[in-house]
Amino acid sequence: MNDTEPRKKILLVDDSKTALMLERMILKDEPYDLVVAMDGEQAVATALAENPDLILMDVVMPKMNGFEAVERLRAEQALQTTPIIMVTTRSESENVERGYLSGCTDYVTKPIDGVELITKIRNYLGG
Amino acid sequence: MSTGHEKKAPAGDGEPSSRLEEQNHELRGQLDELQSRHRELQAELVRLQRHSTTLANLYVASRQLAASADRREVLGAIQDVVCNLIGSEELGIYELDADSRTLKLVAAMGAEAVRSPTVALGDGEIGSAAESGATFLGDGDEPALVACVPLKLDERVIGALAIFRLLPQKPELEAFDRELLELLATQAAAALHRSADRERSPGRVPA
Repeated sequence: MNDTEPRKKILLVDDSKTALMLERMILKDEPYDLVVAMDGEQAVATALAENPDLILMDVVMPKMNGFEAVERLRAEQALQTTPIIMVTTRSESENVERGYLSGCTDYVTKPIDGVELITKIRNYLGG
Repeated sequence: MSTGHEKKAPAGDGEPSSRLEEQNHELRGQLDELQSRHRELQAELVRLQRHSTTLANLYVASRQLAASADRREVLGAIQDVVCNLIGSEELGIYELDADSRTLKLVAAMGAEAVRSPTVALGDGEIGSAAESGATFLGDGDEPALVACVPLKLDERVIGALAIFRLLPQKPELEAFDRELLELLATQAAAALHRSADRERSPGRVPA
């Protein structure tokens, strides 16, 4: 990445402290700034305030689940094309399909494979 | 002025083309070597990234357990670690009642563990793992129990963690999962013991 370019920003959304800490650890040497939200409602508010370049969104969360949060984000003009990678616990087709229908761009499954996650993020953001 | 790009005059009949072919052959050989080295380095990079993820998993599990203060938090952290780092939503955490030689279910995810709320020491795979202090690893395509890890405090078994099923996308436990289970065997036990100590003496500051 060019030094003069602003660093890309990623919003990590998960209600699990373990998942968030692992995502931070996996991405700590990558050239991205990280912001965090711990439920769907907070994710929508943080995304609107921070305008991230990519969102990593858990599905099962309190207050508002990941699918609903993605639908809310896609209704916002500024976030219609932001890549959203869904982090699902279950990879069954109906779960994945529900994710794509809600507007997510891609998905990874838990337990997170660090190599897969970094590869996907680089595909969308470069770096 | 020379640009350095002028064509040189041929040195003799047939020589330039054979020399060029030779150079071409040599360069192709070098290219093959470089491509092969590139593939090796890429494979090494992926191996290192996987190793780094394994270390990250171990670090995260350790930190989460160490940061949990009360019993509810510790039990939640163990479940969170198993769910997010190992990949299971069917698990049970048992504590040993030494007097009755019985393992009692104190936390569970999924329906499977609830079917065995108590297990006598030495009974079945869970009871046997807790009695012997050795981790049980299930084999076969769909074992009834994927793993049972005795929770040990200075080699003394104080409970057990049973993993009944892995997530559908995770076919089996891998080497780094087993490392994580070994870490859980001691660190989860220590965290549970600390939380019990705190409950007994709420005002005391841990050493």
